[in-house]
Amino acid sequence: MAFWKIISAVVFVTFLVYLFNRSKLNDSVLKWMWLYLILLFIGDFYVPQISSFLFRSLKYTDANNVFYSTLLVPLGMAYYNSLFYQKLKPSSAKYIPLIALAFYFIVLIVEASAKYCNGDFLFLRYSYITGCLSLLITIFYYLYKLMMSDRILDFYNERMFYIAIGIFIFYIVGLPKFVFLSELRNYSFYRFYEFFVALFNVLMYGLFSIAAIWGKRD
Amino acid sequence: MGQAGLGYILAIFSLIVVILMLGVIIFMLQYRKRKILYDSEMERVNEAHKLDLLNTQVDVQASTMTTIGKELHDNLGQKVTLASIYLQQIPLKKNQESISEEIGSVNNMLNDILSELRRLSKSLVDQNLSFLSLSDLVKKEADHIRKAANVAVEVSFECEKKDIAFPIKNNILRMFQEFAQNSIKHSHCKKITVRFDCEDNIGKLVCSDDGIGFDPKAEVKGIGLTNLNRRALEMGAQLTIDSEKGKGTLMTLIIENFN
Repeated sequence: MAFWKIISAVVFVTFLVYLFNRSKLNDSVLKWMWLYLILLFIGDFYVPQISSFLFRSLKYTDANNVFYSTLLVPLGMAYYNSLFYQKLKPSSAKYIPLIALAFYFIVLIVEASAKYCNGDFLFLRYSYITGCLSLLITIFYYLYKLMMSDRILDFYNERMFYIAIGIFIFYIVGLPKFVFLSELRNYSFYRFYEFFVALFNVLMYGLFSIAAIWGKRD
Repeated sequence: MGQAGLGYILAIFSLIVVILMLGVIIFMLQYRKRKILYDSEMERVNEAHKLDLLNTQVDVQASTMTTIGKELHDNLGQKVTLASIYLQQIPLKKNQESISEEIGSVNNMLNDILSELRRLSKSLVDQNLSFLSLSDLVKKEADHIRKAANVAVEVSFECEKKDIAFPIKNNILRMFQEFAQNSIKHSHCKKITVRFDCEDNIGKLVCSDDGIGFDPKAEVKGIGLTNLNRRALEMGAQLTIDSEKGKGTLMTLIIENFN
């Protein structure tokens, strides 16, 4: 079975976990995780149908690239940043996720305009790198704040801790795959690396599920 | 991307892995540092709490001794003296009728002394407080108030916990007694309401009356309010007393970690 099918199945299971546990999630953004996950699942599982329907004038691989670059990835970036915005809201650091997201969207718009207007329908790697790095900075700041506060004493009860670790690990491991996909494919170790990325993707959704099931504090 | 590019990626990856490992180590060290601080702080608080409890026990013992001393001196001592005077007068009596009357009086007095002694010993050994649940104790106290003071007492208890620690149970009961006594003595109330509920590890006692109320800012004589504050402090609880002239009094006690 291809990795993406396994990941889609894991996303669906995580969606079910959040759907059934949504009543105990007090965080106003986290309780919408089920909606994000089902959109992600539909987007991932039916990517050929959706992308060829939305961008019918483009050929299959180009339509896929545009679909991921302009819809699925920005959706993820917006949702994850809003999660951390909610978490950092009581402090003045709440602007970090907002600035990160704004920066990502600016780069996305500039890159999309530059490339798509020239008929170059590749995956928008620079905006992806910007989005990932700015999200990682936000997560790093969140973890730093957690480390310096008394909440570190029961960090295992904190839902956002698991979510932050999951995103942090997966985005670090997966960043080269999405950015240098076409180049890395030529190397013999690519299959092993792809398996590694899929494993970390599953681990990320596993941590999301742990957050929903065992986490006690939003 | 050539070999050099791949080399850069691997170098960046290695750097990230090292940073991550460092991050994990720093996180664990910070966790350990905080945990040690927290544990030592908890130990200090526990020691202070134990000392407080010990001081309270000593206070209670001293207060009990004072009460017994006063009872023996002011009440029983007087009655025994009186009985002794009556007995000394018996040989001076001429007729049988007055002798019988004197003996009857002494007998009554001795019976009185005996019942006072029983009451005193019973008050020293209050088994109920240890064995009855807080709910039963409060309800029992409410019954006593209804009978003794002719005041309506409404009790609502929504707490299933049975294993409430003795000092907490004792303090809650005593605070309710103190509130009720103050209400009866000073506020001329017709009705006292007491409600207790608990959720997770937080207990909440709310007592109110429909009496004449008082101005909480005014200097209040007596030790009632001081006692209430002292008991709340002992439990580490939060006590608020709201009152206004003509609008009754409301006492709210919030006890965290009351188990």
